Amino acid sequence: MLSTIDNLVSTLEAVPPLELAAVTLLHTLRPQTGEWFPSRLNPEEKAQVIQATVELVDYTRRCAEMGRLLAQLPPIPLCDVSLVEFSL
Amino acid sequence: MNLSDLQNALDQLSTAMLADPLLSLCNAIAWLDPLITNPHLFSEDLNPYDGNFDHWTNIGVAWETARACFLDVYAETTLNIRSQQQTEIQIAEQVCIGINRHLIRADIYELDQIHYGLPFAGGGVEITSQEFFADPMNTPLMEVYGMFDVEVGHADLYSYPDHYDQAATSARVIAHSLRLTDQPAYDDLAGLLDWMFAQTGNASADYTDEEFYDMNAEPLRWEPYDIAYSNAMHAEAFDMIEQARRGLQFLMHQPALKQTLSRNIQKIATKVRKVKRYDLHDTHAHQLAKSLRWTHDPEPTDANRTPDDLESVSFWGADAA
Repeated sequence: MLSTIDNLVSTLEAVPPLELAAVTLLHTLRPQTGEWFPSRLNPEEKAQVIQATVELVDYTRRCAEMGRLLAQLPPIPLCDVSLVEFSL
Repeated sequence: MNLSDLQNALDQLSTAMLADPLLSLCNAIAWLDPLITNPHLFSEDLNPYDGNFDHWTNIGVAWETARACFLDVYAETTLNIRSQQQTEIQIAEQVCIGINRHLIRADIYELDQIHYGLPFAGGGVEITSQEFFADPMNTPLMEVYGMFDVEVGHADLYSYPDHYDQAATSARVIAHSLRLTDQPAYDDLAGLLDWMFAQTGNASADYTDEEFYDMNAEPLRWEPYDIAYSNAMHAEAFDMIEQARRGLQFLMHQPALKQTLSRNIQKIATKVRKVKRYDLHDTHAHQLAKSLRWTHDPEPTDANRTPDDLESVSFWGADAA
């Protein structure tokens, strides 16, 4: 059981961070004039932002769907694991 | 603290937030997907039959519709609203244009239409409309209707011409017969007859806008499945009407075929005289269709059958007519 958890942790740690274009564009296009969000975009930047929005909404939808599926997982009894904390 | 200090503080706060991956993501979502927390912010509690809506209400409903169905339009609209460089009329026009990019042959003309479901574009023959038959593209149709003894183009909007149903029954049999020839041009002619008598099976090809409106049919909804269905229906209707027009062109240049068609119409009309339009079963229609011959085909397709066989065909409901 422990080795399985270790494997899971190491697998998750090995997953590369997701590069979302929306986050990248927010960094690169952020104005230095006190505005919180980029607002004046040239046509090329606008096209990039539109593509990034499509990716971002798709990503958040997938995350929401994953959360919904995880919430519906049935509980798994771990009969052979001793949780010493309970005795404290 | 002066204005410069405030701007510096804001800049530092923004920099600090963007240094954190989670806060960066939150900022990106707040920037580009402001409707994420409430995708029904505008359409909630809105009754489309309440009356006229202002531009901002239309934009709001279209904006959240776009989030569900047309993500690129949603993104464009978000940016246009944020930029504050366009009036609401201009934004509404942009949303219309964006939505129309995703609709096939059934555009919306004003954003106000967003409240009433997907647009329907009727391509059916306007049988009682003088204007329809005055169009040079449609004028030759009058001659074909004439072969069926159906007068069209009269301004009485609420009634179909005499003999229309009987002619439609004959047209159905003749279309069957034309398709049996396996000739592409005759197939086009069959498509013409289907279109003329609203028998294509495609609502957009069979009904006019007015007929569809009068039916009080529930419009399709602004949802991905319905949009795909509507697009497929309108695209198919366009192809059907194109085929019908090819069939009309073909017929108009074939005097011998016109004579054959007229002869076959008369032949079938006598056989289906007592049959109600929707009582003619497909099997019977096919049997009758086999009795006809066309100019390219010197023998009837069921030459081995005797006329007596056909005379014995009975029609369910024929006595009721």
